[in-house]
Amino acid sequence: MHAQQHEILVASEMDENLLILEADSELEDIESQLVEKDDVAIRFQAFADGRGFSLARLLRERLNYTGKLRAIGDFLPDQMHYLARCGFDSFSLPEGAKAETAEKCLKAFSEAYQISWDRKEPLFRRL
Amino acid sequence: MYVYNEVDQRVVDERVEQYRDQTRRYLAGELAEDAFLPLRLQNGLYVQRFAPMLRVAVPYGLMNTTQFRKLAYIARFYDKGYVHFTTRQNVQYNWPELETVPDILTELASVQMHAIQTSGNCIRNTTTDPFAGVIREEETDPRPWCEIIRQWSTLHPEFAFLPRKFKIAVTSNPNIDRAAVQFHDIGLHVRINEAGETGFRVMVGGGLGRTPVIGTTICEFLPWQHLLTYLDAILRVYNRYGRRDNKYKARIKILVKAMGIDAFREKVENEWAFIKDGPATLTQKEVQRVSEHFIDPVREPLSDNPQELATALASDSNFNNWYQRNVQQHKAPGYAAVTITLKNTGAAPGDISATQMDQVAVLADEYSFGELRSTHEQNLVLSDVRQDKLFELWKQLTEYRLATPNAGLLPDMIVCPGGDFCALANAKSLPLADAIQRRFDDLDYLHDLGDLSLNISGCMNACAHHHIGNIGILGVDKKGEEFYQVMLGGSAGHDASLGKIIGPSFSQENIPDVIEKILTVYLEQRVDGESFLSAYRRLGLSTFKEVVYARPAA
Ligand code: SF4
Repeated sequence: MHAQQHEILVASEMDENLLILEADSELEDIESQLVEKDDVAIRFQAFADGRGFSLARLLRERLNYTGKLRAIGDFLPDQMHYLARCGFDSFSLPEGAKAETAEKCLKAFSEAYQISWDRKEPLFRRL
Repeated sequence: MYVYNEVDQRVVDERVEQYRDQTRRYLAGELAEDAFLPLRLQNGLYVQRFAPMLRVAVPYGLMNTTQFRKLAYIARFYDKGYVHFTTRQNVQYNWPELETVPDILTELASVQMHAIQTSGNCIRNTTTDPFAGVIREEETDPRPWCEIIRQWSTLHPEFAFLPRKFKIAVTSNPNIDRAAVQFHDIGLHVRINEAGETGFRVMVGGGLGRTPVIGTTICEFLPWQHLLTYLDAILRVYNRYGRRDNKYKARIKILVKAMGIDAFREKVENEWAFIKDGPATLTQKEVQRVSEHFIDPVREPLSDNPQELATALASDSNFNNWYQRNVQQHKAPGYAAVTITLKNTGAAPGDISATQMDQVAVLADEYSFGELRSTHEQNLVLSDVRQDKLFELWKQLTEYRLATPNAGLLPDMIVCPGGDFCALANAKSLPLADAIQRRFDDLDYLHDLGDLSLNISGCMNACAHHHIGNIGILGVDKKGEEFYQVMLGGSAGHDASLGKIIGPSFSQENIPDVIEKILTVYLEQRVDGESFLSAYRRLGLSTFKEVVYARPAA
């Protein structure tokens, strides 16, 4: 059910034209900046800080951002399945993480109860 | 009870495989300790004082006997032959090996059980009234809503890394709140309004721990369709704005306090406005589908107080004692709900051996449609027993040492594992509970005292909810020595209140005397059969304090 292609970057190469958002960014402040940049990244200061998950969904679902959304900073490959469901489609892997592990983690689950970026309807509407 | 469909099963199976791989990578050194930590916690695995501890989810406390036997089997095969029931209606194993946990999870998955989100900073197991569905005065059955919340919260992609843990409880009992909903991050009271529509009173920001707070109503009546979108909105506001700089200030209660309920509500409603009526809105069809799993069993047409019961009550005073305390009125005539208290002197409160579990499973099959429930008070319930079979059931429970007639009485304490197991403890709680049970073992005295809750936590994390015990005891550290603070007047019910500290703390040896003095004040001053809590509320803390701290007469 993962229709989108996920981009996994191992080296920390950074495009010039990347809008980097911190987890505590407010939507009002982002909207104007979105138009000027090609891609957006959300930086995780610490993997336990889950604010980036909500911010990603808001970008996708509230601001209808359809471009590339990259996770950067301190996140775990084991979080990538959730990250993808919240709207990330590009991952700049933290040092030491293997692309192979990341690929596997992305596919941890084949179904989900809730709506999310990749599933516009909850399971109960699809049963 | 709810039976998994193919997708429910697949989700749990895939979770087991994911965790198996995480464990493998951890053991192979590919996954660092600090990265493995939140992953294992989200699967219920703590590393405790002596060994790992595995917490298994019992969604809203409901189990069938196949599951119950599996829990017993795991206790025997992977642990030390007993299990511990927690105040969140879950099961804990105190001695599993980290390496075998994936196998335990496979065993659990084979009977539609799991350990998903039983720990960690995520949405935890939803709890409810252990008599849900069989209570006469209940407005509606809360269990289908609990299951809907279970599915919504399971592997929720957005809320797995919240500022702190998040607990939801549901009740639909207007008289007695056995789920302590006002002490949860979100408390839901399912109601039927005058037009006959189902909805929820939503309370938010309750909790215990270091800063005990009674929840505040954020929405008086939320129509049922909106349950999940409203929960999403609350959780999103919390996830984005809850404090992350200090774990003791990270619960939603602190955010609600800091913002004020009105500002918090406004933020939630703003968020909700965007998702309300969206695809996550519940459908009649889904509620119907889930509710069909909770229809009443086919009961015999019987009437209350059958001859067999009356005869037994008249002829056997031990049975009568047990009946008075451990048997609960039922909505169906001729039936009753039975509490099996796991509070036997000599065993830790909430503990039950694998052998006893197998015996209880046989009884549940024979007398209660093959189902069991665990309770917030760390007991078990057989919810559907014929009244004319109660005497028979009691005789067998007695044989298995599971018929202690103390439900709701002083020895029916809520006690955390404390210093014997828990790395965070300031003091031991189990030996103290044992000492109290030994001191107060006179049944007539206990029955005369009547309803009384006593909760003991080994530190201010308050796992045993000492603030809401009528008598609460908290382990404190005084220059490296274990002391205990005593508080009075807490209540978990609809009339929720927090206990007040009576005064300077006591050593362990003194606690039974202190409790005896408190109880003597109550027995001497109660009027018209009022409960301990009512008497306390009338008399006030100082009346008790004077007696407890009085100098012995020279
Ligand atoms: S209250 Fe404290 S001592 Fe008791 S289980 Fe909780 S953290 Fe451990």
